[in-house]
Amino acid sequence: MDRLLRPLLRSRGRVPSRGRVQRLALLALAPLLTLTSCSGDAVRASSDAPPAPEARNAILFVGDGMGIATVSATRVLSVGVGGDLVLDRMPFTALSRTATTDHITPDSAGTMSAMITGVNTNNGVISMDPSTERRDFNGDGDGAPLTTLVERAKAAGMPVGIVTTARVTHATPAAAYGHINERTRERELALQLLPTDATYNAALGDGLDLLMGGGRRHFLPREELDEEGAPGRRRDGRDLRAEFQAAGYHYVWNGAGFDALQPADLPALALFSPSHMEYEYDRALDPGQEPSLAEMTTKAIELLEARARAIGSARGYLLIVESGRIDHAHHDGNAFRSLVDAEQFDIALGAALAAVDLDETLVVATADHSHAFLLTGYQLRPEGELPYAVTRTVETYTGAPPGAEVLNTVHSLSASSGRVFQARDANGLPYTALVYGNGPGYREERASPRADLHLDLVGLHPAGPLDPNYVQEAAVPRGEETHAAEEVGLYAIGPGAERLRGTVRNTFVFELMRTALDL
Amino acid sequence: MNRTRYAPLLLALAACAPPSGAGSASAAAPDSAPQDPLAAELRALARTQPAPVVRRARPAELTRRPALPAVEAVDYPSAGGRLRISYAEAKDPKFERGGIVLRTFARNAQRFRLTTSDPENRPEQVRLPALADGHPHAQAVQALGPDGSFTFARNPTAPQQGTASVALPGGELIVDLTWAELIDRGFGPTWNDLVALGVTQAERERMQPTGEQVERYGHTFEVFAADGVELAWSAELHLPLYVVRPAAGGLLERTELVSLDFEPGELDLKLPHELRPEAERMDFVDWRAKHLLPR
Repeated sequence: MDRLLRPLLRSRGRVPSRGRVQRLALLALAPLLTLTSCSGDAVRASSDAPPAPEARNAILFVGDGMGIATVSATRVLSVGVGGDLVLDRMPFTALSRTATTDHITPDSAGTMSAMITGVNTNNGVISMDPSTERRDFNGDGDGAPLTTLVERAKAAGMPVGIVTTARVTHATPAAAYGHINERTRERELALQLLPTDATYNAALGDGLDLLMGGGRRHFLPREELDEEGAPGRRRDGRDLRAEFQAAGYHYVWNGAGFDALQPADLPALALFSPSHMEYEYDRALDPGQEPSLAEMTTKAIELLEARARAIGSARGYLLIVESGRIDHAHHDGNAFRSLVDAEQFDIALGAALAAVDLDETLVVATADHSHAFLLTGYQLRPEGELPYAVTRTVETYTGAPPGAEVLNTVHSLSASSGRVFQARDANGLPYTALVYGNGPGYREERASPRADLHLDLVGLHPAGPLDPNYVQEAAVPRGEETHAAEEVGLYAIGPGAERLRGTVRNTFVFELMRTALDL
Repeated sequence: MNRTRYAPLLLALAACAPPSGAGSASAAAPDSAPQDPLAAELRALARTQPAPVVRRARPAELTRRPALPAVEAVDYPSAGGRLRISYAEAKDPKFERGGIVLRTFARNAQRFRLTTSDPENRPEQVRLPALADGHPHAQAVQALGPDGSFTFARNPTAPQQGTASVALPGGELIVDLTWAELIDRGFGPTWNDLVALGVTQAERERMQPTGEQVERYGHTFEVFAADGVELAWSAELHLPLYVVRPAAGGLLERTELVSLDFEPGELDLKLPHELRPEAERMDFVDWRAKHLLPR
């Protein structure tokens, strides 16, 4: 334990003695010792006046599909293998188990429902209890809706915002505010957000204060084109953009509208794209000049903080931030876009930490699930990072620019000669460090990644493994790469973060935040 | 760890389940040791701003996707079309591998509606990953609606053709295409149709007519070539017929369009294997016929 804590404290400018670290370790576990009955009932000291919440504000960051391997590969891409991401500098971490009540390998609906309600449920189900079968396939009716952290926060008078790069009606954001037995019923989920609709989720009180992301198509009729010329998907002829505005929402759809958003504009609905927002790598080409995840995050904090202050409550705000497209690029077998979006997730997290007061804001970051994605082979660090001089090298190794070595073919070192060489498989072919367990990158016959005619993400022959559109190889042929079942990282900072430790179920995310906010 | 010294802690840990479900966090509330200076230090640690992160500078091509090349628009009448594809070999494992890829012949198509004649075996997903040269994924992965239909809206600023990869467990797929306008599909500098056949920009610019002509489907295709890559192109249809390029193992890879009975607004396509049962090797990952020939 002291080996673990000493570097951590040293990084904070403190060099504790061994004995002090041991005491610290003991205290890190002290909460357990105080639980004589192992129940929470005896924990809180009795008091006539309710104590102020431990945390005034809370922010939950969800990197959709951002498994451990994705974080590791993003580190190499963004800060180098020896560098630190913002995630790496979060002082309290745990492993989070992700299985749903009906699947070993989960989907975003089940996992986000678990994280935001504290109750695990089934794949495909949005914040309904586990007696709810997806689409009620057996006809026995649905179970009960589960109370979400968002609903608890609204009931306590806290402003709540949700930011995502996916459609706002997609599974992860939807689980925060909606209840339905089928995640793809996005048109219905959009109505659950609309305070004037008969199916509105009344547990949201006066409604979400801020909602930013993509997914305009579920807010307008299929007969109409949106601001970017894309048709709607609604079959009921309703234009929810207008209905939200009639309900008091300020509506924006592009970067200019985003820039102009002011605290007085809340409640606000920002829909930047017909479907999901762009990948960060492609964002500059967006016709509406949509904002980045980091920009949306800092804007949301600014607006919600102002809203909370205006209300005059001792409580602050709750914000949920999802980087939704780490997952999508993985599904398409294109690691590069996934890693760039994961990097943007980390940038947004850093921006949030810089924007909040950590004395009063709990920030939690995690993933909903992992992917069948690996960083493999005995990949050598870049030459400039090696602690020794190699005797000879090859262009395929030295030619990889900073950040690209994670995309490169595997290069290793000959221990007998000190030569760097491009590693080869049993058939003499090079292979990349990034691979998928399954997905569209399956090759019926392996080829050198530098002469590979397998179509890339945009339907062309890639220039090689460093091509941003390269589709990494997959072991099992599937049209779409899948999620994976292993634990994901759970990171926290701010009031209450020190509770995080060990291996937890993902429902602990709810408990961690609910406890800190005293909801 | 000193086992004697920490025995009470170990006993307590053994008696208590880890925080792994609803209600566990409240049990782990830290208020129990608020006065202890070391507990206070842990709590202070939770409130300490981390040091800034230093990120690496990447080359521009790995930072932002380059802007799209300009494409000149010309006037074409608005039109609608239907693409009908029969796929009898429903259990062909190659379908399961990746389905087929439909490429619209209408660049700048605004809508695609995909339906199937077999609702029990409707496509489970539609992937639109490949808008060649342009917007890579106006839609990435979409589930079909309960009726088996899917409508896809192209981003109008992405003036290249779209492709739809459809997982086909069986039945018949019908693609209705409607589009507001067509962009020049001539044998011009953009050659966007050719991109989907794997012809690179550099190859396009180097290609010269060989004088050879190929008759197929009642149309004449002129042959162009450069650097060992050969292309058959119909100026009348504004469509390529095939591309042949060197492949590994001393073979040639021939990628062939399988268009039949093309008329404006309507396309009837058949799968490659129905056209070319004699092919040595075909790739059903997309609807183009790919097979290898002796060089």
